[in-house]
Amino acid sequence: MSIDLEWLTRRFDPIDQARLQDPYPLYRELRERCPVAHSDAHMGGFWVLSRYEDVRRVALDAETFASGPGIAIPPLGNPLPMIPLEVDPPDHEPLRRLVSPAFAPARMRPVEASARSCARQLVDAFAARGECDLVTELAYRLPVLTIWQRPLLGEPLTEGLGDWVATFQSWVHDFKHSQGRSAEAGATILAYVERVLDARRAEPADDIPSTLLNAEVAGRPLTREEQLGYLFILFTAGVETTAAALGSIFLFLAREPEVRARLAAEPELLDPAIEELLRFLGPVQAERRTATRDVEVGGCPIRAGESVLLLWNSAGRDEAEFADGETFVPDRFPNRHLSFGLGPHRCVGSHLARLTLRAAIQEVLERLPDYRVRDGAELRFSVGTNRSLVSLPVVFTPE
Amino acid sequence: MSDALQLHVDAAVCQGHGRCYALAPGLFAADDVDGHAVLRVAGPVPEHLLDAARRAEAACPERAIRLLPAAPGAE
Repeated sequence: MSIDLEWLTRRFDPIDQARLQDPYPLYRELRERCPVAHSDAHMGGFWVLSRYEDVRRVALDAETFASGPGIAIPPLGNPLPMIPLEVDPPDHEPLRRLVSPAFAPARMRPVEASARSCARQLVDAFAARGECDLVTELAYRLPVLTIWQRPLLGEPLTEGLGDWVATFQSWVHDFKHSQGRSAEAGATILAYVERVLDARRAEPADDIPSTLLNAEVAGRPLTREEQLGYLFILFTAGVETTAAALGSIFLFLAREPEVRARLAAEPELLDPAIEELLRFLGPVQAERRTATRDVEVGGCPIRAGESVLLLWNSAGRDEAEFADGETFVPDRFPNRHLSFGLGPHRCVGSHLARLTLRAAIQEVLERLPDYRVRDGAELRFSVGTNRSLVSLPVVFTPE
Repeated sequence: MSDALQLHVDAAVCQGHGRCYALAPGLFAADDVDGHAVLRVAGPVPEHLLDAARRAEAACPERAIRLLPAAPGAE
């Protein structure tokens, strides 16, 4: 496929569904030809950064490159600022510390056992059928189940929601991916997290909503809006990113049976391979920052108030940082990938994400060792802040 | 031990990616706040852990870990 350079270097649009189905050749072209590009596709224009070093530098300098004005191009339509991602220094750190202990590695041990058991039950549901959709039946379900337990979001309120896991998935997907319905989905999620807060006020538990109700920053309690903005991002952020990572990973492993066989045969390879899968197929495509002062990036002057778009996954393939960056190397070392971000806004749930990925991948390697993509399946990615495979129909030898 | 090396973690730079304690659990642990790195070995890194120390230094996405000549007098 020939690359439309005019579009790529002057009108790059992170939600162009047709052009970004396979973004990696485009990213390579950007890194080589126009590493600091400008696009007029949204919001009066924005800069597009594709090199590891430039993305890294911007992410590390949260004072010069603010996330307060919003982290997506075009804007997502969240009804409140997402906390702490859309809060800048110096207010950011105390807010983040309210919740980060719930995601610390020591607290993840019970969650890890439960993730494995949830993954097993999800696979139980289709293992005898010989076919399933690995995205809708596993990738999108497991991250919802792992975060909605103590000490994380705690017990979900499921009354009236039917298949609550599927309902949550669809709300999050609409919020992240449906430009037209994003604000509507955001309002639905906001109303739900308000109910969760009310339920925990009535009956406190060892979970994050209860923590937020009692939390103080700078000697004052959190406002209701801050509590809601915090729960809102916890509802949306980890679920869709982990699901998107799993969708891409399962598709990749289906197409690379040798990699799959090697991971199955060498369990000690799984942890480094998960880091490499994150580098190679990171779920978060693009995030916005806003310059707070006149500054230069990669030799280009950027003025105060202008937006920049960080192409995380382009950074992940940059050969200036990663030798043979376009090649998957299961035991790559070093592997300083940026797929959880970098600097003050690094993903607070990275330890949860890793254990969720590991549980799902191990279960699939063990239970569906010969799965392959069903003939004629339509493989479409939904592209925006995240790049998410919508559906992955597979067939395999039934248990 | 004039060529002894010592690990340093810049707490202001560490963001808790956790690569160091995954690669070198004998040298690093996670704190309870955000999974930030905590050094388990004060003073010079023992010979048998030097390779692990170098790997942890190379793996840190934030470049928060430094393996430097041990301070004079450190044992």
